[in-house]
Amino acid sequence: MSILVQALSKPYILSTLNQNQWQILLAQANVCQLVGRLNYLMDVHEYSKPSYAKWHLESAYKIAEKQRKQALVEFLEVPRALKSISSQLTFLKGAAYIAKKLPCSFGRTFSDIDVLVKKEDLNKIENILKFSNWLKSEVDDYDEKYYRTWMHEIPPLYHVTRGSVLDVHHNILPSTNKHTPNIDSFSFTQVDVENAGIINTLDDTDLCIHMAVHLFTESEFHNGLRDISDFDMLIRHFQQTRPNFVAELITRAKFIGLFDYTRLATRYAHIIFSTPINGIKLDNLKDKSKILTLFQDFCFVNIFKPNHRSCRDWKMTVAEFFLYWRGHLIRMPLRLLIPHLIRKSYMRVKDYFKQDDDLTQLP
Amino acid sequence: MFAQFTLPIGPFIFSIKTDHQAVIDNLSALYADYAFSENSLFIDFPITITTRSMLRRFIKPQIDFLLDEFAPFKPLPKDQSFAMLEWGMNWCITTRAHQFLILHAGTIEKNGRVVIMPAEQGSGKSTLTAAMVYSGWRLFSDELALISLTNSLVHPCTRPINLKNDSIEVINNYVDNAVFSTIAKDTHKGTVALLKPPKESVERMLEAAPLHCIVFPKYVANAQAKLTPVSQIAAFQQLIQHSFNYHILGGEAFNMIANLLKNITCYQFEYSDFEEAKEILSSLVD
Repeated sequence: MSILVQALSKPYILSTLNQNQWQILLAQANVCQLVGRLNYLMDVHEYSKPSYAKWHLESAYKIAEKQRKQALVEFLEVPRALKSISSQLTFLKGAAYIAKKLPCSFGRTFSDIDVLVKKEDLNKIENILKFSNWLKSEVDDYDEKYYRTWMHEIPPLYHVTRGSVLDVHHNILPSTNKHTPNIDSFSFTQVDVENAGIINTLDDTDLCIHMAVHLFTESEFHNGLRDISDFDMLIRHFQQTRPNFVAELITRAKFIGLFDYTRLATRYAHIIFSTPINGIKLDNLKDKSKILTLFQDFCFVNIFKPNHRSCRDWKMTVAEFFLYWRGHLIRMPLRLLIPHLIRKSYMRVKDYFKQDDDLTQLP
Repeated sequence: MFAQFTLPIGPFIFSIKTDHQAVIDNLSALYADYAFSENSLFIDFPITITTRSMLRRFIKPQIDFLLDEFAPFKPLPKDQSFAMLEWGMNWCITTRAHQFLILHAGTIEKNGRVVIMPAEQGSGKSTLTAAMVYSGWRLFSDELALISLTNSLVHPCTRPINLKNDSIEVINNYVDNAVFSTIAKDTHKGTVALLKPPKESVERMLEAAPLHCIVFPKYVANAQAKLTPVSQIAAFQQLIQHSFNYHILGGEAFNMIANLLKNITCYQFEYSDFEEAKEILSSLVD
């Protein structure tokens, strides 16, 4: 097991490491965007930080804190921009963790703020946001059409002066996914955020379900370990006040038709981080098919590792390959997928030959 | 064949691994006075300079900069390898070292007093820094001012000085026996060469010192050297503009700058002649 996974599962390890172990731990954590989380865990447990590691940990934490402040500003600004329409605006994922002050939000960086709106209001919302200085990021015509036709979100918007990036969703899964739920079956809740007022987000079980759906429909897992660690921290946190939380989560997931993704998240969080799953047997979180269970175990156990030379092996490469195809096949049927991937590969080759002309990105 | 250097630079420890002979030669020449360490230190920034694509070793050769296994930049033409290493090292510091407020500034010291010279690209800040550190000042950096958020001291980050275009010839004429890296032509900043830092500055690169004043330098052809006081508010705004990480540090940086500005003076500085500049800058710290 990688030293990073050990430290996340049993934080007391962080108080026992020597210099060489810190060197490897920080390298792994850097790849996984988890340095800030390590700093949070050390602060919570009041472990002393060796001087050579201290500033690395705290710098990463400062970057995450800056993003938290940025999210807090958007909790005020985005609803303010949209106050003329009565449509419900719900904050998801990273922003939701911040709104609820969940432990996994501390030291966690994210690239955009995700919001969910009603599909019928989408055009109106997009227009209003445009006049509030939220502009479309540069997307080519093909991507634009792809987003509009098949995806559950519109191309990301960025704010001209504040630099925040906003992902506006109208569902939590693409319409081409066979599990696409009716968004009205989700259970929403309100949180009072200091200086921003009341904002909407998902309630605790549905927040975890959404997280699971999001992670287990991915085709690339660059932040996979961070995300499954988020899930582990969510479960551990909610269990403190609701001892049967996992059982409630599973029941709820079955009710809204998203059991499959939720069981995967619970199963692999437990296998990787020993997340307590009171009242639930690991066997009940398996796929019905034995072969599929073997396949999933192989892929997910090997993908939720730091993608760093200190723990990379052939199994991880194979898992990456399978999961890439799995993710795409979940997202859309083959008749859409194949033309899409051909088009994408062509664009990539074209970009490769263009890169010689583009050397302006250096500091 | 890879060669590896463990290189303590001020508060940081870099390791540089490379299979490019040009990088090895330039490192050996320009960092000759550094204490290359054999000890197993904690490496803050493990850097590799190599060519990842087999194809690109031969056709229009390119090089990659890697921090551990991560490539933050697109590859550059091979003859820019050493310049790319130096740019990449700046990137490492400015994106990670948030225990400091980091300003884009030439930073020099004399009599235990630090003068920070924040300026835009192309304002002659590196050239002025180079001229000063070869006439009695100690080099902290030609590019980065590192101000500690814990004790407000300025920390040296002593490295070769990055000179561009005409400045290379100007400094070559001004400094006796100046040692330069190989020259990289046609970079995104024009022609670039690095100047070896003075030996004494390198030997004292762990000695931090308090900030004494801030000078915003500007090269104006044929102008007489002249200091004009800058108001605290105007200086504050300029410092924010020249900062790499003010937006990350937020309140912490605001408070520190506010406190610093209470006790120091800030000037606009126009100059064209190094002798005049030397005299005026020295008068600030005597």
